[in-house]
Amino acid sequence: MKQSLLRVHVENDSAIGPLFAVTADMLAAAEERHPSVKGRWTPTFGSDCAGFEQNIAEADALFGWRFPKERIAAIAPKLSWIQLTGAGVDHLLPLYWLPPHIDLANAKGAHKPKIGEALLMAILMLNNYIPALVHHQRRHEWHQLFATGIAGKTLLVVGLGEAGGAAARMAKRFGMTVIATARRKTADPTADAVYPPARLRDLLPQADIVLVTVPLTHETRGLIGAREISLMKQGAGLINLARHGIVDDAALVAALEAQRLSGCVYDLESPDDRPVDPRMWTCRNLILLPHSLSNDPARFMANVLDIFFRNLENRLEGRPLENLVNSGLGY
Amino acid sequence: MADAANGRPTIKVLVENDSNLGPVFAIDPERIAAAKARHSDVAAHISVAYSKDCDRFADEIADADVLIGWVFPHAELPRRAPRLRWVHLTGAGVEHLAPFDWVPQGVVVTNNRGVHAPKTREFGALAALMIANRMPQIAHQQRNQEWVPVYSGTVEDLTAGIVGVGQMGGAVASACKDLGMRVLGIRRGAAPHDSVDRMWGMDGLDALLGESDVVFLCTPLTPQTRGLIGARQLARMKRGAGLVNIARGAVVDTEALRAALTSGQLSGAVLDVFDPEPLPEDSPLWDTPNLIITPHCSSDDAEAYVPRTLDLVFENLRRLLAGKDLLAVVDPRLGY
Repeated sequence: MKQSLLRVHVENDSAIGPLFAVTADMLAAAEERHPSVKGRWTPTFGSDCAGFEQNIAEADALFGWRFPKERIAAIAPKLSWIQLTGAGVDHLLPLYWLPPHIDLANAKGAHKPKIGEALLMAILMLNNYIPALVHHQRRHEWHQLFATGIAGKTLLVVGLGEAGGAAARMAKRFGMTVIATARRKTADPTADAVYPPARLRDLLPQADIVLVTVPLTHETRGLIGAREISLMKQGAGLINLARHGIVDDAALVAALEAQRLSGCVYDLESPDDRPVDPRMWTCRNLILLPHSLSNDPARFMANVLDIFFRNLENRLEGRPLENLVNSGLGY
Repeated sequence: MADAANGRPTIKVLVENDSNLGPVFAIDPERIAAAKARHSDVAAHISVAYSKDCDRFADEIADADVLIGWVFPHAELPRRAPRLRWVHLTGAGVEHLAPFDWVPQGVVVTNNRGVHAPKTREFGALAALMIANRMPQIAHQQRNQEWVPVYSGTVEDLTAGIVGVGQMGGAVASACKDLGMRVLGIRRGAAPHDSVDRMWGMDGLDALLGESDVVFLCTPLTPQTRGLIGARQLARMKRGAGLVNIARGAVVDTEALRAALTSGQLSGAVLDVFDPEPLPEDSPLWDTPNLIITPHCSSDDAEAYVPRTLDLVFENLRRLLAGKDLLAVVDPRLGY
C-alpha cells in the first residue's frame, strides 16, 4: 500500500530578511544530501502569514519561525510536527498553545561553527581591552592598555548549551579554565566543571570573563542584576549573548561607567522590538553587536535545512525527532 | 672584564631604562633578581648597573661589557664604551637607531625578536576574527547609533596573507592556521614556514594581496618597506578584505588607507602602529570609518614582556660566557 505524501508547509517571515528565507531551490539542493526522503513529501510555501489558514489546514508539518500560534490547535487538525528555523523559542513562550500531539523542534546547533568564532572574538576582545580602546578612540585619546595573555584565565559560561559549549571549546584551546552552570547536565567535555544554576553567585567571583547565554524563561528573567555584577572580579569582562531581560541594563551601565567591569560585549536585539536605554550607545567600554554574529547566513541555512531533513527522515521512518523543545523548561 | 674571586670573569651589564616607556617595560632590580633566580648558572658571573633616562649612562658605560636599552646616545658608544661587546635592544623594530653605522667594531647588536610572539599570536587571532566578523564596521555603526545587522562568513573559510613572516608574522601565521584559515606569506628568500601554505619572496606582494581576505603587515621598517602599502596595493586587494598593521605606521600610506576604508574597497582595518606616535589628537584617523585603533599595545604582554626579554638576555649571556654565537642578532646592513 502506498503511503500518502507528508505535507510540509514552509512559512517564511520577511522581517527576518531574505538571507534567512527558505526557498524551493534551497530545499531541492539540501534534499540531495538526504536522498531517502525523495518522493515521500511535498512542500507548500507562504510568507508573512498570507493564506496561512488554507496552507496549514492540510499540513502534517510546519517549517518556519513566526506563525499565529494561538490558532494552531483550531486550524491545523493534521499537524504533528513544527520545525523551527532558529534556536531561541522565547517568542513562542509560554507553550500552552501547543497541543500535546504536536512535536516542537528547534534549530539548536545550526549556528556552529560561526557562534564559536564570534564568542572567541568577544572573549579575546575583552582580554585585550578592545571595548575600552574603542571608547578611547571615540574620544581621540591615545591611552595604551597592555594586556596579559589569556592562558590560565577563567571563563564562566552561564547556561552551557550549544553556544556556550562552542565558546568553551575555543576558550580551552587558548588555555583558559572553563566553569559553567547548566540546568540539564552535571558534566560536559567542554568545561572543567559544571554546576547547577543555583551556584551562580559562588562562581561569579572566580571568573575573569563571564558569558551569559541562558535562554529567556520565567526562571532566567533578571538573572544578572546589580547584586550579581557586584560579585564579579574587579576588572572582569562580560559577554551578553542572552535575550533582553536577563541582564539588568541599568546595573550594567553603572558598573561600566564606574569601571567595576573592564568591558562588555553586548548582543543587542532589534531596537525596533524594544526600547534601548539611550546611554548604552555611548556607555564607557561597552560594545554593542547588532544580533548578527551568530549567523553565517550560507552555512546557517544549510545547517537548518539539514536539521529539517534529518527530522523529516525521522518522521518518515517513525523514529523520534531530534532537537525537541522541552515544553516544561521552555527550551 | 674583572676577575672574580673564583677566577672566572664577571660581565658588567648596564641596564638603561627609558621612563617614557612606562612600567610594563621597566627592567628594575626586582625583575633582574627574578631572572637571576631562573638562570642561576649565569647570575654568578654578572654584575648589573642601572641608569634611568641616561642619568648614570656616561659613568656606567665606560667599563660596561654589555648594554641593554632602547634609547641612549648611540653615536657616542665608539668613544665612551671601550669594553663594550654587545648591545641588546629591548624592542623588535629598531629603525629609530638606523643606519647602524654607529655600531663600534666588534660589537654585536641583538633585538627582542621572538619576545612578543605569544602575545602577538593572541592578537593575531583576535584581529583575524575582528576583520572576519566586521567588527570595525560594527564599532563604527555604534558611534553613529545605528543598529544594522552585519552578516559575515566563517573565519575558517578565509585566507590570511602575512607580509613579513619573521617572529611576529610567524606567530600571526600560526594563529590564523589554528583558526582553520588558509595562510599565505611573504619573506625575504621565500623560506618555507610550518604555518604558511604558500610563501613568496617580496615579488609575491601583488599575488598575496589579490588572494587574501585579511592582510597582516608584520615587516620591519626599512627603506624597502617604507610606503610599501599605498593606493595601488590597496586597490590590488580583494574588495571587502581587511588590513591589520602591527609593523610600523610608515609602512602604510595613511591617506590611501583612509580612502579605501571610506569607499568600501576595504571592509575594515585594525591599526596598532602609527606615524607619528602617539597619534595626534587631531588626526583624521580617529574618526575614519571601519577602523579600530589599538595604540601600539597589541603585542606587549603587561606582565610577561620584561621576564621574556630577560630570558632572552640571560640565554645570550650564557652564550657570551661560553663563547657561542648570540641569538636574535641584528644585521646592520638590513636594519633588522
